[in-house]
Amino acid sequence: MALPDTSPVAGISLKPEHFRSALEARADGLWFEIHPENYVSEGGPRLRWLDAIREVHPLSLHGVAMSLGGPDRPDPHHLANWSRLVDRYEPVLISEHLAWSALGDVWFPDLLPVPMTQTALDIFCRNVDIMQTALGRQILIENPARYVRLEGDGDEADFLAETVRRTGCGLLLDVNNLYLGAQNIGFDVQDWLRRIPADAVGEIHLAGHEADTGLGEHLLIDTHGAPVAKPVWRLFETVIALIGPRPTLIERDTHLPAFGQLMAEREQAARRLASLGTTTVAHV
Amino acid sequence: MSRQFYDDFADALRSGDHEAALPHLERPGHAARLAVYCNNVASSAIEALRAAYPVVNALTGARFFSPMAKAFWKSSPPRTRSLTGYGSGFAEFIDGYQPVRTLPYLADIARLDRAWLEAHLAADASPCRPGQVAQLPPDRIAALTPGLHPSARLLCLAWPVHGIWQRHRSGSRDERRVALAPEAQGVLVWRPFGDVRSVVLDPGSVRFIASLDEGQSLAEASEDALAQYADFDPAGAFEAALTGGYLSGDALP
Repeated sequence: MALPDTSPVAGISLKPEHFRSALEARADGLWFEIHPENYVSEGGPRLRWLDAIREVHPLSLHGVAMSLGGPDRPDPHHLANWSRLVDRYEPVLISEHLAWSALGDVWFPDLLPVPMTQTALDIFCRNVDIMQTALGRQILIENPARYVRLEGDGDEADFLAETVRRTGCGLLLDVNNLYLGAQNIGFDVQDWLRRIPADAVGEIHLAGHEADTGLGEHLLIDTHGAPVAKPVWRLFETVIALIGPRPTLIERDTHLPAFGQLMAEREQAARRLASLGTTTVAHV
Repeated sequence: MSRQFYDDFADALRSGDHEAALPHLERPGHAARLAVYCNNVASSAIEALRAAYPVVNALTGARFFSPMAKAFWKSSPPRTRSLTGYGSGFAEFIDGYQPVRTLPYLADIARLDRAWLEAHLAADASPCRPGQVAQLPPDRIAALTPGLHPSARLLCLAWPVHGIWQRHRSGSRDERRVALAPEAQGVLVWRPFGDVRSVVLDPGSVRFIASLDEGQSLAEASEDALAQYADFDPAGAFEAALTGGYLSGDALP
C-alpha cells in the first residue's frame, strides 16, 4: 500500500461511529489518530475500515496502555501488538503518555500520575527506550493531565526535557492538559513552555474538558467530552506562536458529536496554523 | 518513589477507597481528587462490559448492570492492555451472582453476547464454499476434515434463549422478561464475511459440528452424530454448513 501523499496538518481522533464519514472526508492536511488498544483483534470489520481509511488519509497511533511511567518493563505482548499495527498502518506519528496504568499483570484503564522523581525518571527513560527499540522508531511523549501533586514531585518540564535528552524521544504537547495543570495544581504555563525543548515537539493535541461533578471549577477533568474551550484555543495560539506550527489533533472521546462538528473544530485549528505558515512534521 | 507508591495507589483504585494513596499526596486536602482516577478505572471497565454485553444490559437495565459489572471487574480486572476483548468469564460470574437469581437464563444470554463479540473480532478467513467440494468424488468428501471457520463459536445452552437474544440484538425491545422453562439449545455463532450470524442447531447437528471442530472427518462426524441421534440428517447438516459458511476453507483443495 502506498502512503497517502499528504502531510498531516490538522487531524481528528477517529471513532468507529465516524468510520464512513472519515473515509469520505477530504481536506488538505486531514489525518486521523487511533488508540492502538482498540485495534488489537485478530480480524474483523474494524481493521478493514482502518485499512480503507489508511489508503486515503495518514494515520497516527496514540497509545494509552504501555504504562511507561510504571515500575515494570513494557509488556512484550502489548509491544508485539504495537509492532503489528505499525507494520500494517505505517503511521506518520506514534505517541504514548507520561503515565502509568499497569502493575504486575493487572491493567488499570486510565492514565495514572507518575511521581516526578529521579528514580521515576530513570525507570521512565528505560521504558521509553525499550519501546523505541522494539518499534525501531522515535515515539512522542504526551504531557499528563494533572489533578494532584505527589509527594516528591519535581518539575514536569524538566522531567520531559531530560527524557528527550536521554532517549531521543519527541514530545506531544497537549494544550488542554497544560491548561488543566495550571488550573488544577497551579503550575506556571509560560515557564513550562520556556523549559521544554521546542524542537522536540512533534504533535499538538487539543481537547475539551469539563468541571468535576463533585468539586466543580476547582477541578477540571480531561474528559475529551466537550468542544475545545476558548482559553485552550488562546493557549494554542500562544504555543504555536512560540514554537511554530505542528500537526494538531482534535481529540474527542465522549459525548461524540456529528463528524461535521469535529471537522469544523479541526478547521479552526488549521486556520490558526495556516496564519503562521507551513506546517511540517517536526524533525527531532 | 518506590514500589510502595504503585502498590498503594493500585489498592486505592481496586477498593475505591482513597485512604491507601493518601500518604503519597503533597496536599492531603486534595484527597477527594483521587476519586477521578478511581472512577475512571472502574467506569472504563464497566462501559467496556456494557458494550460487550448489550443484551444482558438491556434485560437487566443499565442501573442494575453497572454494579454487577463493577463486581465482576473487582474479581476479574483486565489482564491484557486492551478492553476490546475484556469480559471473558462474565457468564460464569453471572451464574454465581446472587442478585440475578430471578433471571436464571441471564448467563446464557451473556454466553451469546460473548460468542457474538468473539466472532466479530476473530481472524478474517474465507469459509469453505459449496463449489469447492462439488467436483470431488464422494469418498474424498467423506474423508475431508474441514474444521470450523475461525470465527465459529458453538454453544450448548441450558435455556432456549436464542430467540429473545436475537430480537434484542436486532433492536427490538418489546419484551424485557419472559417465562421460560429450561431446555437445552444448541446455537452456532459465526462471521463468514462482514456480519456476525447465528443459528439454532438440532442436537445431531451440534454433535456433528462439535466433532468436526475436534478434527474428525465428515464420515466420522456423521457416524458419531447418527449413533446418538437416529433422525440426524448428515447430508442436510453438511449442506447447511456449506451454504452457511461455517466450515473452514483451509483443508480443502
